[in-house]
Amino acid sequence: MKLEKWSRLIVVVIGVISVLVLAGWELDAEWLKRPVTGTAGMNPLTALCFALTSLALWLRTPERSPRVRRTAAIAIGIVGILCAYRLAGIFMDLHAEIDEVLYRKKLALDMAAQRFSRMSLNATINFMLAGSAFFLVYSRRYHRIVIAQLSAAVIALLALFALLGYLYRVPEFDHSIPYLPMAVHTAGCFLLLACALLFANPRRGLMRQLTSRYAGSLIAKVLIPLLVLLPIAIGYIRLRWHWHGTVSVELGVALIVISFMLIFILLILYNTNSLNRRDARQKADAWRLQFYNEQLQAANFESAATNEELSATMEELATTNEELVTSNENLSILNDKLERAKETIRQQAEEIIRQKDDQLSEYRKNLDIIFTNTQEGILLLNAAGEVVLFNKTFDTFIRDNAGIIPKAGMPFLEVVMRARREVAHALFANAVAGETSQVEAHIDAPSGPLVHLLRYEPVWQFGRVTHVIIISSDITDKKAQESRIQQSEANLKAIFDNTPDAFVLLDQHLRVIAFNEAYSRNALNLNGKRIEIGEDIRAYVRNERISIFEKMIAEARRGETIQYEAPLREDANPVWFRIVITRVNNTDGGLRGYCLSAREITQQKEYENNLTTIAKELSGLIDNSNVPIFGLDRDGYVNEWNQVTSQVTQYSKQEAMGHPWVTDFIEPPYRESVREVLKRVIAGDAINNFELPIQTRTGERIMLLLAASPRYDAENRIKGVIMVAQNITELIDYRKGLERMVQERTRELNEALQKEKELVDLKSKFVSMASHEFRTPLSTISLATGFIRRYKERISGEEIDRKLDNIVRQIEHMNYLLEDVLTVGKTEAGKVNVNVQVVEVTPYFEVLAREVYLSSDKTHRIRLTIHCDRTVMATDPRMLRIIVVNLLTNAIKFSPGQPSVDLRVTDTNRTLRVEVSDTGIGIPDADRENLFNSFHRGSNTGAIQGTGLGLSIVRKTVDLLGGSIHVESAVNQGTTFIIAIPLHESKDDIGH
Amino acid sequence: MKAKTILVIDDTPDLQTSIIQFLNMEGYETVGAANGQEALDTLAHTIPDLVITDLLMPVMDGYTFIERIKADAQLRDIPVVVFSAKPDEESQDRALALGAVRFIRKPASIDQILDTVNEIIQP
Repeated sequence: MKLEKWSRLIVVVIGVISVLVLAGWELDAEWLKRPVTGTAGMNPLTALCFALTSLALWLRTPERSPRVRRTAAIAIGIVGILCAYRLAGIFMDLHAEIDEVLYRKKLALDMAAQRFSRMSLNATINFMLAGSAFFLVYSRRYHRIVIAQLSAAVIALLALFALLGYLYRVPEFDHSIPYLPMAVHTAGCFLLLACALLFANPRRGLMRQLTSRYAGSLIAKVLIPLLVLLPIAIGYIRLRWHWHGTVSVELGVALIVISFMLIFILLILYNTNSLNRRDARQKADAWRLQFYNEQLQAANFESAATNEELSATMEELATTNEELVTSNENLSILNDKLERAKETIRQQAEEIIRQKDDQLSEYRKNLDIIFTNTQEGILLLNAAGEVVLFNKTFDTFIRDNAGIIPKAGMPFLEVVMRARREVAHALFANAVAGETSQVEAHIDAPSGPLVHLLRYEPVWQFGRVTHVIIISSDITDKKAQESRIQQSEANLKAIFDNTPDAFVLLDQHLRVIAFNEAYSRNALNLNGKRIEIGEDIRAYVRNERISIFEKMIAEARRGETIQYEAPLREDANPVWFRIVITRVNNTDGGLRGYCLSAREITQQKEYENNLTTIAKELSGLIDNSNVPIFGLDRDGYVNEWNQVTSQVTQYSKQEAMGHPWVTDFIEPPYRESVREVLKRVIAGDAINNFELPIQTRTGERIMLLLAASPRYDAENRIKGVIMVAQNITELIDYRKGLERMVQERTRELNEALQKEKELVDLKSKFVSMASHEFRTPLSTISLATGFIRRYKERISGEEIDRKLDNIVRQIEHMNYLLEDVLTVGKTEAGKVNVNVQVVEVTPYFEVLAREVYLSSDKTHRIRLTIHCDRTVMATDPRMLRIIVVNLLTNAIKFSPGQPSVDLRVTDTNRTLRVEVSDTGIGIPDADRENLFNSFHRGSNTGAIQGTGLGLSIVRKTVDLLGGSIHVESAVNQGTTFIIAIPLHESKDDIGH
Repeated sequence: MKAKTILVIDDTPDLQTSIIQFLNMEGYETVGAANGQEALDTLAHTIPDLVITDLLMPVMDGYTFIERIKADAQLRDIPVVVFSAKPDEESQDRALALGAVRFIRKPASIDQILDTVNEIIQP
């Protein structure tokens, strides 16, 4: 039976017991309340709690509905509340005890009779534990189930403790400890309740360890009851001995210990044995399993192999089957093909027969067409001379000309004109005899005379003449043509004989075929022979001309023609002939012979001679002309170049002739325009007066004035250009000289103007500078004087003195300005004389540096370095001072905020070199050009005051001393002026 | 009543001193500056009632100075009198266009300057 069922059965048992106890109280059945007399009885409340708990456990199973579960929970809840009340009563000494509510009187009677029936403390705790176990035992959480089962275990232990107390007659249970005693059936019920709780959910929590099918669980199931029951039994035996006083305490304990040892060892042996057996069985099972497995596998392999074979066989079978099917199909296809082939052959045969028939009928039709449409009349007769067949031409001809309608079967002579019947009959007879004959018949047709060619032909069949065919062709036109050709030949002959030119026709072997009258007349005395047909023409050629004659023949054979002019007849005056030999071709283009013609050209020759003479004269005229004349052909090649042209261009006639004029003699920039001019001239224009520069052979450039006109040949066609030139180079040079002169003059004039303008500019600059530069000191003076006048009563004498000093200073400043201006003016005008003196170098520069230092408010230290071999120098000290003071003042002025400026003095053999450097604002490159011009001020000087005169004065003074000035500068880095002044050896060296 | 303050800007020390001296004699408080930049530095802590300025000065000239104070909301209402050696009309027009109230051409007498100053402010 399953443990869950056991659990429910136990619950029922508890429920029955509790109901019986309650019934005992009701009916006063003492044995039900207290089964063992003199021990504690079961309190009615305890019984009620058992009833409720058993009810709750009965109701509470996992598969019940929530409502039932709630009822169970309420039942347990009531138990909990009752127990809580009881606990409070125990520990707080409440007056109204809850366990005395039911059967209060009966309980009181019991108490009076020293019969203990109260609900004990351990019973209360057990109910509490049972309640909590009830709530936790069906939980899903492992540890809650464990708690529930541990609670059940505690309940069981407490119950066992109470039972052992009864069994071992523990004196303390005899009411000596309050609240401890528990009725014996109460303890039994708790033991059962504990079991019910443990079995309620036996597969979960701790119970799982006991209920599983593993070896441990099986052993535990045997061992646990033994371990519970055996000690109880041994303990009871020990006590029985003790009660009877047979054994001493020591022996008792020793026996207990020994018996426990024995029990434990036996249990362990049992345990070991059962475990080992189980293990061995398991191993055997495993081995067997493996064996079966292997066998199974082997069987599997075999079956797989068999399967494969089977499937292979199946496949083969399928393949064979397919082949069979394929063969069958092929067979049927072949059959079909055979059928089709038969059908095709039949159709083709029919087609061929049909085509042959068609061809035949076509052939017949064509024959018929030819027969009908031919221009020749055809008449077929039988051997008896009767008409068998005739064509349309014949029919028409007879109808039109003889007025007879021909019919088959009629004798053919009926269609022949009366006059021709005899001849026709004779010809027919011939034909019947087997001969072919033809005759020209002149017929007087109504439309005019006709000529027909009639042919009679026998038709042979089976070795004899069965029919005669007469074919009649109209040859009237042909006859007419023949007569026309004859006429034309006669005409040609007449022309041939009457032309003034002499002609001889030769065959390909140069034998005379024909010659005309003119030839026989003119060529009479050629080589002193008379010309004869069939003779070789060379027999009539003079020996000295035979080679040229052969050459002409050779040329003519190739299709070329050579004209040969010669005085062939030499009388008193030579008679000139021009001979031409041309090739005569057959109709197929092959050589047939030659035609030799000769024309008398004596007059023409004379004319030509005259012309040549004129040309020569003209050429001489051109060549010797005193102006350059040259000519070009249509393509621009030089073909005329007279002597003056050679002189002018320095190219000889040989060098020029045949060269392209434009590309060889004209400079590239002019070529295009010259080509244009030439084009126009060749088109017929005459161009006069165009100037053309030509480079001569020596590279000299000459200018030609050209007149170009077209040049004509004898047929009045333009054959080139003739140019007459004029060398105008000198003329041009002269003109250029004049132009240059004008330019020169203009430039000079401009320069003068510029100078004038600069002067005006200088003046205006001066005015502007002066007005500005003088205004500041003037202001100070004005204010100082005004101050003294206005406040003289209120101020001290010292104050007035200071003001006066200030005025004096301003006046001095203005004076310096004026002096500067004057210096510039003087140097501009060259009114300054150099006054050379000998001075000591070092003291001179030291004094200068000191003066500048003091006058510039001591803002910059002047670092003076002198490296001079000489101790004295000869120069104009006043001018040198102007230079150095100006440069130093500038250096200080244009390096505001800098601590110092440098003055370096060195010398060489004949020059003094003075360098003044500052680390100031520098000079922009743009200002370099005008640096030394009067009134020019650098673009970066800004508000630094100045006149723009200092460097101008320096430059002019350096110039006066014959020195040089050089400047090196970088913007915002500084400027260095380097002055080199030639020194005089002594005062006497001065040249002026 | 507190004395009026005049800022005198001129790069020529003699001239600046001269102007300051007679303005002091007339009862004006004065502050001197050698150029526009110095004057702007002074204006950072002293607001004068009038400014007399030269035009051609190093570092910052008079034109720029006038432009700068006219662009400053706190300074733009200070009247500016130009006292310059520039002789041309363009300079005068340019200075007035920038916002100067008067243009006095150097050289000028004390009376001329004082008349102008007194016309604008009272000592």
